[in-house]
Amino acid sequence: MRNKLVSSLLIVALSSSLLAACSSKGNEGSESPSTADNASNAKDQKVSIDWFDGTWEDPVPGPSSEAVTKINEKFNVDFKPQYIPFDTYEEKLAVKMASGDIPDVIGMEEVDANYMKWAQQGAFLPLDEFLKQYESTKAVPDYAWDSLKVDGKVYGIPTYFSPKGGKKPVIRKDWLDKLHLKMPTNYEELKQVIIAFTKNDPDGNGKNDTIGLGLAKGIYYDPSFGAYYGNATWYHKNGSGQLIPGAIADGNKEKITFLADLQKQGVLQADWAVTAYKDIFKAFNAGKVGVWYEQPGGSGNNGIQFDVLKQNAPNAEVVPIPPFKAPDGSQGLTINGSWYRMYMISAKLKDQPEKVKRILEMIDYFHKPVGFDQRNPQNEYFDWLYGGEGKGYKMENGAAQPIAENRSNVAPSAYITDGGWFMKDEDLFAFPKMAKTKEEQSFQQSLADMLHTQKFYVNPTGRIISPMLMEKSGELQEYITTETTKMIFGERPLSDWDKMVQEYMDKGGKDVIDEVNKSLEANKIQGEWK
Amino acid sequence: MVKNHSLLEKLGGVLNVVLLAVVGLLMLFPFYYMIATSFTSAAESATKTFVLFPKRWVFDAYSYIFHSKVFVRSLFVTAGVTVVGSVFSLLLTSMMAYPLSRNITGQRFYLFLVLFTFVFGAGIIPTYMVVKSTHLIDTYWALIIPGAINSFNLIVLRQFFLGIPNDLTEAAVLDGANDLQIFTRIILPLSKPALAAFGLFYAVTSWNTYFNALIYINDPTKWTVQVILRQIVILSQRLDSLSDGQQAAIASASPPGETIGMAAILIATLPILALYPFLQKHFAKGVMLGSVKG
Repeated sequence: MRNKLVSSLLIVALSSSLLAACSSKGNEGSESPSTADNASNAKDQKVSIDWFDGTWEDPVPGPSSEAVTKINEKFNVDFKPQYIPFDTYEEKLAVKMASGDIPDVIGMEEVDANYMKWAQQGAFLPLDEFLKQYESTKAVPDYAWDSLKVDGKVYGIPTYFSPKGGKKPVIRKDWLDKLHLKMPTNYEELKQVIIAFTKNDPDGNGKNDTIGLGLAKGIYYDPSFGAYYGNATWYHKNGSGQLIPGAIADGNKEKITFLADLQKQGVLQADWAVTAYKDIFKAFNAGKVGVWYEQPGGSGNNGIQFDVLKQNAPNAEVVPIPPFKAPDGSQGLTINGSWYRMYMISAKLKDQPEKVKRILEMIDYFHKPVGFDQRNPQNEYFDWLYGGEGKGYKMENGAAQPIAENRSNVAPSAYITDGGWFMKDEDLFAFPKMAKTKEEQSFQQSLADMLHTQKFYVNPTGRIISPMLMEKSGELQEYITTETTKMIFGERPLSDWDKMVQEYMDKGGKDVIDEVNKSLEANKIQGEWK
Repeated sequence: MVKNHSLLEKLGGVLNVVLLAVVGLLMLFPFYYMIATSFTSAAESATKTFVLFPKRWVFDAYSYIFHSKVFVRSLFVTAGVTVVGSVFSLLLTSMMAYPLSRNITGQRFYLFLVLFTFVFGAGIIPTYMVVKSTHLIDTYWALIIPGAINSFNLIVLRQFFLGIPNDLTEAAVLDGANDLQIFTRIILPLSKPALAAFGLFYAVTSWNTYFNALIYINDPTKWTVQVILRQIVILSQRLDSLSDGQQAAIASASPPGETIGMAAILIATLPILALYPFLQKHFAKGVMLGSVKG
């Protein structure tokens, strides 16, 4: 410490005018270059690994901790991790990559234009031949690998999970029962239900204080009931046989017509266009919302809190709404992504197969699935990943809860993502077992039942990398959101729909559609039901 | 008191006070809202969208923050960097500004070099490479040395030094003082208002060190409070930016609530806010004196 200070002071003294001129030798401890590991290879095959990744852990895992020691012992490595919060990670990664300071292992949250650029520039090692050798990577389906391919080669190792998660529309069944209504199966029936939910006092308190359909700023959760109606799903085809995004397709038009109708009848919450979706969760938890969204496994503070709901509405019963039968006869939900976070290996390691192997073994080890009923101290593997009972996690009602303040110090899984999300349909049924209240249990059960039996449409754009789509989709989607919001409020007539689609095309939508379809064709990928 | 105010003037005075009070309250309101939210219990903020008067004032958020070693440590890091950084910056800036205010050879050239940086910056990647090759990465000096001299401050301070009469320094030379003595015994004491003003500028900049800390510091234990703060605040809203599948994947870890975010913002803002009243008087005076003399 003191040495570092002294040498730093020296630098200060030396660098009075031109910083670049100085290069001090007394400062070696502060950062080791990423390639200086060959020397240590000789003894006991111990390799040093620079690991650079973003994280959502709080506090951010440090470079020397109990967990790092555990990882070092387990894999006989000198593990040198650097973690940056994901919200700022991109900038730092870009600086590092551009300056040639490339770590051995690079983590990213998802595929973006940089991933593609760096892969094409040869910064990453192509991994196809390695990946067939590991259990955890064999479990990853083709459509997930497709999404990581650049020029036909895989450069990233995804942390795969079964893709049936994500927010699904849910409804207050006790309200349906009270008003003698049945579960809606199309937008027309849903409209009647929502009008009744808003006007007929479903909570029976004598006040006009219920919201039939939760709708938030920017139509945040898309009220789509199946792949046919999804905004971001490339399901529909245009006249020339090209796939087009849901936002400009018939499904969305039907949905917007439905919403505009509700608006006209004064059923929607007056200020929905400026209400944050989080506030609708609060209203739902207060027992005031009829139709809203939740996912398998729940989402903590940012979702439905069944214990709060129970206090506010003791009889509340929440169930999922099954997808509607679409005009073309299809019925089913959409699969979008099926992995979250991935690892790349620096191309500098192409002459060090031993080291690459060690890295892949580590990732494979962390990606082994653990069923939810196995997540307890008796499972040695889980216990190791999560830092030991009473240290890294504690058991509450049979479910392992991380101890937030210790976790990033003792749990190896805070460093390298585990594959601990549900991998199979069967795991969906573990969620009811973990639920904290009886009401949540019954909701999770009904959601798992529904997801298990539904068909899923694999969104084809998830299987290709289209730079144009990555660049433009946000902007284009925002445009459609703004225009359709106007249509719902009657500021723009619904008859303008075709004109809006044309504007969308002119704003770059056509280029996106052309590029996506060209890429789909080149890779022989179609939309398909699973 | 002057007594001959007309009714109209009185009315204008009252209106003025009322208007300014309203504007003042509008400015204070966000602060009050932050304070109120930071003292609200998590349960209450989970069901209400806007809390002005918490039912119960609780210290949960503050105890969470002060128990999290990371945040407290980052406060100390920032305080250290602020103190050392501002002193260091002031020293370098004045040491460069003073010679540039006297008749030295090459003065125009050096001034040109300084002004050049007004227009052209090196960009982040070259800067990063310089910091890296000087082995400053992961040291606190990486937060202090790059950008230690703010060229704008340098120019203004030079203007201020120009205002100090040459007669003073000439007298000192006759008394046998060397340049360093003149600088420390005469120039610096005479420039206290300017130094206080620029000290405040530098202190605020150091306190807000965010991007440099993020880019140059890899060890989370050395991060400044702004980096940690951003993390806390973003964590409480991170789900907004993720897709459904991603939300499903990370749902297990529950983010800290809004209340903690508000408390963290307050704690990180108050120390530097508290500096202002003490330096206010120098502040106005110093900057003005520097700018008036041509």
